[in-house]
Amino acid sequence: MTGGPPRFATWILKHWTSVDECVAGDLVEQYHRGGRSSLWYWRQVCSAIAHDAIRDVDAHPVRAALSFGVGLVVMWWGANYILYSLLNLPEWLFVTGLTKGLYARGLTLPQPLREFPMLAGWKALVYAVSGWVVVRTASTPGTSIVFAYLPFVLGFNAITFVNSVGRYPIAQLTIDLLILYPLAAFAGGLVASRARRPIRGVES
Amino acid sequence: MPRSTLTDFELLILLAILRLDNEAYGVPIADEIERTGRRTVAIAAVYASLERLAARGLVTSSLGDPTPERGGRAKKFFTVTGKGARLVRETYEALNAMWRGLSTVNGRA
Repeated sequence: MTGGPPRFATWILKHWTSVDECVAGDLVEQYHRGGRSSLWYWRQVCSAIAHDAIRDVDAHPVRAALSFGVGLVVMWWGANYILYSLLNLPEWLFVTGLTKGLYARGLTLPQPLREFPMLAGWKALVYAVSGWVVVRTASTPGTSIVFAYLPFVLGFNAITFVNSVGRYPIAQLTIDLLILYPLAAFAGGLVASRARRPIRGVES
Repeated sequence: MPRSTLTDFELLILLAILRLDNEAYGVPIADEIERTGRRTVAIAAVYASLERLAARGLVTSSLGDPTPERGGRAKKFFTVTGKGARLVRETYEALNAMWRGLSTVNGRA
């Protein structure tokens, strides 16, 4: 075994969890002295993330449930209704007679913006907003609440996945629903948690 | 209402701290449970339980000096309080009372 424990895992432990510094110290000590593998270290870090998330949800279960609920509503409503309404807004405005002049001049929303893969990008944005909303409405500002939210996103998307099989290619569904959108939700949550993170050493 | 009982994992942790005496911090506690309790333990799980035990006043902690082999991080040593020791004994007595007369698990069936 050469060098120290996996750097990215240590970085995640430091920046994406609120576990005690002593936990990180124990893991490093055990990695060196106990001759543990990188896989063991990663497993320990994943376990720390899970315990961190459970602890935060356990501390304020009602508030966490409300945050997840709001996040899921934003995600579902946003991705299925608001997004399509916005993308079809030019047509709607045309039908109502408000923008005939714009259409006459060729000022319409380009079709590629409304189709795959651009549509997946818009939906990812909606998921990012839902992750952001969850952290902003939760009682704890850390990323642990985003980690706790991810299983709900994945569960929700798994149902959508099953319902969509046969209508869309499996590869597209896998990339969109199980990788891209959950990552987008996580990224949105990360942005919000950065904004809400208190300055170390300063009592709030 | 706060619990007045211990989970099996909490009991194992308290017993490990008592066995380790003044050297009870995360790594040896986890090692002790793995070796004696014959189960795999995540360090984070140990700390999560220790945090709960500390909140119930069953253990106290103190910080040691940072060491290079830990990347400059300090050790957190744990001690079982009088209340904790009393609860360990009560749990032992309750388990022992339940155990007595059980011929099946005592190998007499």
